Amino acid sequence: MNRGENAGDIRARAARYLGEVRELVEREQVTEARKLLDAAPPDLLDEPSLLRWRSLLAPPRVTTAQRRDTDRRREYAWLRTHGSEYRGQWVALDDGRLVAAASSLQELRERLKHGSASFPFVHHLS
Amino acid sequence: MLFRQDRTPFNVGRARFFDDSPGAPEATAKIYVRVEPQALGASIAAQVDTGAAWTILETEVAEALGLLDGAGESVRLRTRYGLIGGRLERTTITLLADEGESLDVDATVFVSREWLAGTFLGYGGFLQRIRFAIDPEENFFYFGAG
Repeated sequence: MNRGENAGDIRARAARYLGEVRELVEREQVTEARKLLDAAPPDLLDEPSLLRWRSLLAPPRVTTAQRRDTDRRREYAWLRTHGSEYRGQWVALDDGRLVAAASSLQELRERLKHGSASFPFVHHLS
Repeated sequence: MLFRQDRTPFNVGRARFFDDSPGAPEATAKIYVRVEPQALGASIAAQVDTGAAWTILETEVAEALGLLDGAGESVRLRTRYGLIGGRLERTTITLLADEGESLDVDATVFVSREWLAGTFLGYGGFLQRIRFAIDPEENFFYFGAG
């Protein structure tokens, strides 16, 4: 904290600093944005907004997962055959069959709650 | 399973990819794999786009997962459809395998109410940490942690 600064001043200084980070991100200069974050003044390091940017610009973390999907060739075949009948809608497919259709994804998920498909393939037909 | 030159495994899983997305306006063949964003409870198609700086979620998917009004940061990004305002948010996207193991990717994605297209997997923040290869004859997508 600089002499005479209060918490509001620090937040304002952080906002100006992070404004530069945002500009770099918007110019797709993410590596430069990360470097700027790494070089942030010590008194800004605990600012929530800076911590948020650090989290957002951190490289992805990858771990293995046991959950699997199934080969969806039959679902794709259904889409190619019947897709035009459901234009503008969301459809849920499983085992090569239509499980549910709705005008929005939210509505589709509601309908799926009452169905038997445990992990369908969902798709929006533009 | 594919192997690297030192005989260590290249991939942990593989999945069938599709050349198109029924109903989408793409005129040429692309690579569509299946993912589960967060805990959606279903798989969706996502286009692999190594030229994209960020992964972008289809708007209704982002909305269903509560990401459109999340705690991330607002940005304006240049996309294939022009300059779009939205947010960068951190979430988990599972790259789904049909055989072997899937990958949970803790990634930063771009979400926007202005985005009118589907889900794209970009290089920055997602693909950059994944080894992947395609077999265009069999339409298999092989992948593992990079």
